Amino acid sequence: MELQTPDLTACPECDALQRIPQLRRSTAAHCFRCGAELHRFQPASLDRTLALLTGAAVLLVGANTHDLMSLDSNGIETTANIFQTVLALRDHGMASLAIITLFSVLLLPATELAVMLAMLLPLRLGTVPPWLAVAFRTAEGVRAWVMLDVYLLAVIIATSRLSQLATAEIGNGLYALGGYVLLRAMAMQAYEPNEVWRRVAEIESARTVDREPAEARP
Amino acid sequence: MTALAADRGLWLCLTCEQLHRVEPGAARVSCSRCGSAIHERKPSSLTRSAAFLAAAAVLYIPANLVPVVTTGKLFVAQSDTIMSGVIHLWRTDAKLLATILFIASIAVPALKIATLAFLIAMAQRASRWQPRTRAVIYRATAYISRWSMVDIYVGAVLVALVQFKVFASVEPAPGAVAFCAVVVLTMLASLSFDPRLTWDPLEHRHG
Repeated sequence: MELQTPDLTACPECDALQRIPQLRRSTAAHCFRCGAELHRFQPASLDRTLALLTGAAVLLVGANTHDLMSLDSNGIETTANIFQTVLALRDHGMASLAIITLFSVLLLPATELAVMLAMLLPLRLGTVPPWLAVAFRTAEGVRAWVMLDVYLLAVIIATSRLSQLATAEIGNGLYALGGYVLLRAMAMQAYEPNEVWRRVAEIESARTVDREPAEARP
Repeated sequence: MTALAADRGLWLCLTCEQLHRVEPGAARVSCSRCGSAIHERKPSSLTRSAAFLAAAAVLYIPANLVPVVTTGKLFVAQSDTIMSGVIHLWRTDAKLLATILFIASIAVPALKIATLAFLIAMAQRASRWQPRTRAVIYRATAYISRWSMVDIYVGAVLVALVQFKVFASVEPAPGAVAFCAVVVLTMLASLSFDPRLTWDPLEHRHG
């Protein structure tokens, strides 16, 4: 059963019952007992998240369709994009590593963006999509396993190691990847999951008012 | 005394943070808002977390003793463990890189196994020692462990790029699989650990 006191919450990290205070600009509510962050004041949270993730999606496509870098040694040139680094692991007998890499740098980042956009875009347009709950759960579930920020650091480390061996040149894919990591981090900072449910409640109450026009407008 | 949600029959959905009033003795409850399964506390949290952690601790040994990469340069092949790779980088004056890789690949997994073992043991004994410090430690371990994957990804990029046949080549070696398993298992261990168990003994709740 749902509880009808929306400002009452329990801390997810210590279970202390408490009321969420009215937040002012650039403040956050922390649990009085364990200090975990409960809510953060985020003006236009969903709009900013949607805008930043749309940009991140474009850059993620770019990061996957361009080379991360190229390497020139004695006239032999090799290049690699994200998917080729996954394939290289498989081709060298490391199928288990290839699968984990495939999920953490390719499939899950794409899934996360797809479900977040599929959730936020309809909400922006004023409808509650039937897949909202599934999209929300999926986004929360995959978040910890999206590792393109770690992968970006790895590509930078690899570039500087290879520059001792041969001429290493950074490709456009790496710039796109850097942009994606930055925009996604900013989006996650702006994203306040509670706002999703507040928006859903707003849309649903507006719909009820529309059905009773006598009450709705003067 | 702090009022605990669980003591009032209120369960929090850990996915969408909706509070639910749950009748005593209710089996399988799912969230009315987002549909996730909800529990009073994560199910058999300490057992699961300890099992993942034990597996990680066992694999930490081959991850550090078995070579993770074999590099060839003009007919000379050399196998490196994580540590010998770090030492090699340090000697070739790539000191910043050596430090990053030492922290991410050796120090972080070891520290993480030790601190999670400590947190699980303290929760198991219903200890009331410094819960706020333990909460901070938990948040830190949950955040940093993913960065240990950096070594696996560096390997993937090197293997994809360095294929000049006789001049130079890079091959991943079996230690890398053990190392990757350590990272994934420690992540699963910290996701299964329920930080609320750190605080329950203060309100005379057990298990």
